[in-house]
Amino acid sequence: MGKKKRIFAGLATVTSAVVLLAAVQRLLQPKYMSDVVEGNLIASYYDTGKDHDVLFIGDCECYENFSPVEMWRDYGISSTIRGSAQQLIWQSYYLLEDTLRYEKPDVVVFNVLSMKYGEPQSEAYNRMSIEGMRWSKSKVNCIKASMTEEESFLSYVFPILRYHSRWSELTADDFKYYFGAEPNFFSGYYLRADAKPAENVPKGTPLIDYSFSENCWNYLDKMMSLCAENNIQLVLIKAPSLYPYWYEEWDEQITEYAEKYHLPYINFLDPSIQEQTGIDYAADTYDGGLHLNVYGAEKLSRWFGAYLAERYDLRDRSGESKLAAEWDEICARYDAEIARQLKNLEQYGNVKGE
Amino acid sequence: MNKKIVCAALSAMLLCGLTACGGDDSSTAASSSAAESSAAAAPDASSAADTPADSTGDTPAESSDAAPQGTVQISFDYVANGVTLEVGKEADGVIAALGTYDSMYEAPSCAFTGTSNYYVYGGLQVVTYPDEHDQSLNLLYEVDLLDDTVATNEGIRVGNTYDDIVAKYGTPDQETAVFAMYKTEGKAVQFFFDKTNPDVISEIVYTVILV
Repeated sequence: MGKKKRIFAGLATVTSAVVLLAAVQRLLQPKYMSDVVEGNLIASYYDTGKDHDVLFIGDCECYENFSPVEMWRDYGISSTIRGSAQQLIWQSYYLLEDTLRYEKPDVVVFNVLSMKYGEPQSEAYNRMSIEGMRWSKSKVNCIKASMTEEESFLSYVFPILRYHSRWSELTADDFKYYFGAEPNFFSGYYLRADAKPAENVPKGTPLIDYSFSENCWNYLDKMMSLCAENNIQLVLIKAPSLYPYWYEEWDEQITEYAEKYHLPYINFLDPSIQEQTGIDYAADTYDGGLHLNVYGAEKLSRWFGAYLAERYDLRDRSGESKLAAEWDEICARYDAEIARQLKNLEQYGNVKGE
Repeated sequence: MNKKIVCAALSAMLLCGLTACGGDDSSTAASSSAAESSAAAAPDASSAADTPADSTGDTPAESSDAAPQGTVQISFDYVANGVTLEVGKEADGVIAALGTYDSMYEAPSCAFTGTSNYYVYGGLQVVTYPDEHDQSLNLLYEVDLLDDTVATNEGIRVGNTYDDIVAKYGTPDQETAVFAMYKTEGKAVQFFFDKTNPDVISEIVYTVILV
């Protein structure tokens, strides 16, 4: 065998091994379709249009409480949510950085609940917030900032190192969604059409220290600076979730910060705001007050859309054909999902139809 | 040819090494959600995270060592109606033993299956959270004494003062103007004082120290 042939054969062997490894890695990675669907939230952004006026970043209090479809239908505001379960503030910051690689919204809305977490918390939530991000410097920094002691950077680069043991747990979903997930969010919104009244919601147990950590303040500073550099209005919110408990002492710290830097801050738990949004915790939540159902999210978005449009001069873009076509598709899926869940509720007593 | 065989063998070994060493390490971000989401599932996880903060810089002293002459031995397990509530331990049995509750609140964790439960029995609130390794197992997270109808095993209740606490428990392991705490391994008893009347106890909490 000639030298060239030997080199070619060697390269072919190595390439085959790499391709095979990549294929196996893809098979073993969780697909987040039938269960823990929230794991697909971050990646779903890349499959949608990149022309948004408003960007929401934050935890479940963003992606389960605001309906971008409602804001589009009512005000022609194009918005998206880059939310994920227990998204920590540094993850929100790096997701903002990541989003700015693709588009520049007029307004960024950040939900401040994550200020309570000063340190990395949980690998499972880290994975759901980070693995869906496309590779960039932002993702690298996000991993570094987020890793718990048990995690390794390499396992994010080569997820097979983390998921190799799933070979014995593979399900039909791992094959069905091998080449990609089906869209099951609505511009980052997780839709629920069922209802469970908020009753007996516990008040928060007192804390020995209510101070937010320096780490969180630093990232909030960075978020504010990044928005300012890009001429983006940052709006701080506390979503109207009744649990986890939002302490008065926390609220005071955010209020003080917002006043210091002339940032708007809306606490949707404030009774006067609640009266305006019209949220009814007996009907507008699906899990006893942790998150709103679609009817509550629509009420909230109706109020918030008007607030944003009025203050930040967001024009009605429903007449833009290309954008309208994208939203038509999202709206159609949204309506179909509500109909599907209502049908399941009627037939099976739950939205999943189980 | 030999090099080709060696190369192929190495590739195969690499592949096997990465894929076939499962054993019982079945933890994945998705399937072992219980383990990794327990902090989030833990009732108001922030309080768990904040509980052990030695941010005051106080030097902890062992409460038993610090207890003045004549004080009682501190019990970190609350006893209600003859039922011992040991934080950090299995909860379902004690919840059943406590009987009918006045109200109950379920707080499911985001994305995963773990649920924290709040049971209220008059002035007593008992909080559970799912075990990090077995979601079907509920552990006792916190016992809260919310009003003066209930007292600690040492007889301290809401409405008592800082001096009452020290007389019974000795010098606190950690204290500020708003709380006094006695700790042992993995658990604590915390006394919180009224915001408007900082000498008076407003709530007493038996809790797990998670961190």
